[in-house]
Order: sequence, then C-alpha cells, then structure tokens
Amino acid sequence: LAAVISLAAAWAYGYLAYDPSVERYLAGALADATKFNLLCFDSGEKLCLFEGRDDQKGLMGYVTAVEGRGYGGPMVIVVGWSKEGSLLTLSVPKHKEDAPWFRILENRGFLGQYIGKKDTDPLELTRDIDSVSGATISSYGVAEGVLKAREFVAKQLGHRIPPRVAPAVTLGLAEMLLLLGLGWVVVVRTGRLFSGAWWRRDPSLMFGFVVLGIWLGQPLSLTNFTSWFVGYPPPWHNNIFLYGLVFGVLGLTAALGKNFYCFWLCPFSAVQEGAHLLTGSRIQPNEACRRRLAWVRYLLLWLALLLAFMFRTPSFTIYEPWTALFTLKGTEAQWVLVAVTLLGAMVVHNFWCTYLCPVGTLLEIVLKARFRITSFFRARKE
Amino acid sequence: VKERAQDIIVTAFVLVAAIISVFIVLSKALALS
Repeated sequence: LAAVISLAAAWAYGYLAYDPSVERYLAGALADATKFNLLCFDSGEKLCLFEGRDDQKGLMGYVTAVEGRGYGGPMVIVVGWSKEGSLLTLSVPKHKEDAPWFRILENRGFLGQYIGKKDTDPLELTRDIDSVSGATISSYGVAEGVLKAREFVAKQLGHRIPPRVAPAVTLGLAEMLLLLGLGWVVVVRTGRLFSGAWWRRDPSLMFGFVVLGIWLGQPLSLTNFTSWFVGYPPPWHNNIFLYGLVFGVLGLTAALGKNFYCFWLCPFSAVQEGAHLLTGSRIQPNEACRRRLAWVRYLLLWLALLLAFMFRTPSFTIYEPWTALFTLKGTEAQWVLVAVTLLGAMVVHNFWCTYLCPVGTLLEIVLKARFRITSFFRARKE
Repeated sequence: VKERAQDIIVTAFVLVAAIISVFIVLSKALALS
C-alpha cells in the first residue's frame, strides 16, 4: 500500500512540476536577435512561434519550439528560421532519451540534414531526410516536430507547403513473427502439446534470442510499460511491433493467468541459459535465503518507477542488461551490469530473471492482481 | 557449511547487480536534474 501511495504521489508531483517554458532556448536558435515576441501558441500541437528582432535591424527571423515524442518521452525541438523561411538552426535542448541513443542522432549528423532546407520543402522522413537506424523513434520524433513547426512558419510567411504524406502503417515480417512466437508459447503452455518434454522451452527461447534479441534488438523492457504510465506512448503507426509486444504479453498474462514471456520468449533468458550451460553450476540458495532476496527486485522496480514518475522520464527505467547487450550501446555502468549478470548466470541458474528482472516482477504483480480479483469474484459467486 | 556458502555467493551476486542497477537509475536522474 505504501509503495502504491508513494508512486501515486510521485506521479502527481511529476505532472504538476512539469515545466513547459521554452523561452530560455530562443537565444541559441537565432543568435542575431536580441528580443523575442510570441506570435502564436497552439496548446493542442504544443507549439510556440516567436519572432526574433533586433532593435536596430528589425525582424531577424523566427523561432519555433515544439514538443515531439521520442522513445523516452517528450522532447523539445527548437528551430531557428530566417525571415524568408530557411531553416538556420535545429536543436533538441530538452529530451528524455537515453544518452547513448540520442548521441547517435547527433553523431550521425541527423539534425544537420535539415540546415538550409526551406519551409516549402517536403521535409518528409525517409524521403527527403534519412532516419537513423538504432534511434528510429527519436528521429521520427524530431522529424514530426520539424514538420509541425514548418506549418506554422509557412502560414506566418504566407507560403504554400506540399501536402503531408499520411504516416505509413508498417506491418511486416517482425509483427508476423511476434504473433507466431506468442502463439507458439500459448499453444505449448496451455495445451497438451509436448507436455512433459524437457526441450519444450528451447524452440521459443531460440526464437526470442534470434528475433527479439539479435535481429530486432527489442526485448520487452520496463520502459515500454512506463511510457504508457507517464502518458508518453510512442506513435502507434510506426511502432506496431512494440504495441503488439507490450499489449500481447500483458493481455495474455491477464487473460490466461500465465506469464508467456519470461523463461519462454525473453532473449536474455536464452543468453542466461547458455551461460549456465557453460558451467553447469548447481549453486542454489535455500528457501529462506531466496525469500529474503525476493524483495530486491520489488525495491528496484519501485525506485525506478518512483523516479520515472517524478521526472516524467520513462528512460530512467532502462537499467536491464539486455539493452546494452543486444543493441551494443550502453554506458560503462550498463556494461559492468552485463558482465556481472552474465557471470551471475554462469553460477546461478536464471540469475537476473529470478532475482532482479523488473519486467518479470511487473508481470508477477499482474498475475497476483488477477488471482486476487478472480478469487474475490469466485468467493462472491459461492 | 556448503549450503551457507551457496547463500553467500548468491546474495553477493544479487546485491552487487542491484547496487549497479540503482547506480544506473540514479545517475540518469542526477544527469537530468
């Protein structure tokens, strides 16, 4: 109860303390201007349009500040425009992306592609502007923000802009394979197929390792749930796979009362099984020790959620070792955690899953809640 | 003794991994604030 109350309080604090002001970023976007006047504010699009002026030279250009949606939450995209409508500067001074991923956008010159473009140019991602693989959602967020901003600048200048291309709904091999993988696990776990066979987890673990881990680099992470909790879900049209993974696993867990992801589809579980096979260690704590250690993963989950809610930053909850392992991007601390976890998995069977995993803990809470609800209704019926 | 040693090994691994996890989360929060 105390955990729920503290999380609710953190969420309320984060919601009330959010500072949407953008004035401090304007000078950097249009260096020649000494004064900025707000011309237009659209609360629906979360966009501000300012004109930048100099006391002697008059109008110097425009600055737009708009909120885009990245992987870790909202980001403020600030664009400086010339008075003719050319894009002079583009920056993302405030964002909630994890640093290693956002650095990819900067290092691969994603933002620089926009410089010199005009408000009348199409500016469509993947057609006029290249997205950055490994930071696709962040690049879509920035692109969406620039497109919104350009509409307001063009309107201000009386320019006609090319019609927007409707966002493509990408439904392909990844989504089909996810459906197949989840379907297979449901069949194996709920039916009598291969019941009792010692190898029945192996095909789905291998599948999860190859598809979710190696190919897509997108195992289920706590941040995928947190982004919904704090109100920043990723755009659905280019994230069908993610929506399918999150709601597929959650929905099946709630509907059928079993965890179909952990120990079955999770690619990191497959890695740990492999690490344990190398040593064949039989180290197991006794029941009392296991019970004592059980609180650690709940405490970790609570702390990560508390901070994510307080700062409205879902990426705080990315501390799982698989993020660095499968994307090959991470901070020093994340790589140390990968090493410790793999070493732990060699010694203790399914080390991370059993003692630390936040996704498993969250799904366990869902299962416990389901059990209580169904027990309550069953008792009332009787 | 063997059982106790096993408990100590597992507890040590769990605590080290938990401390690093907390460090990762807190360092992100500190960087933002």
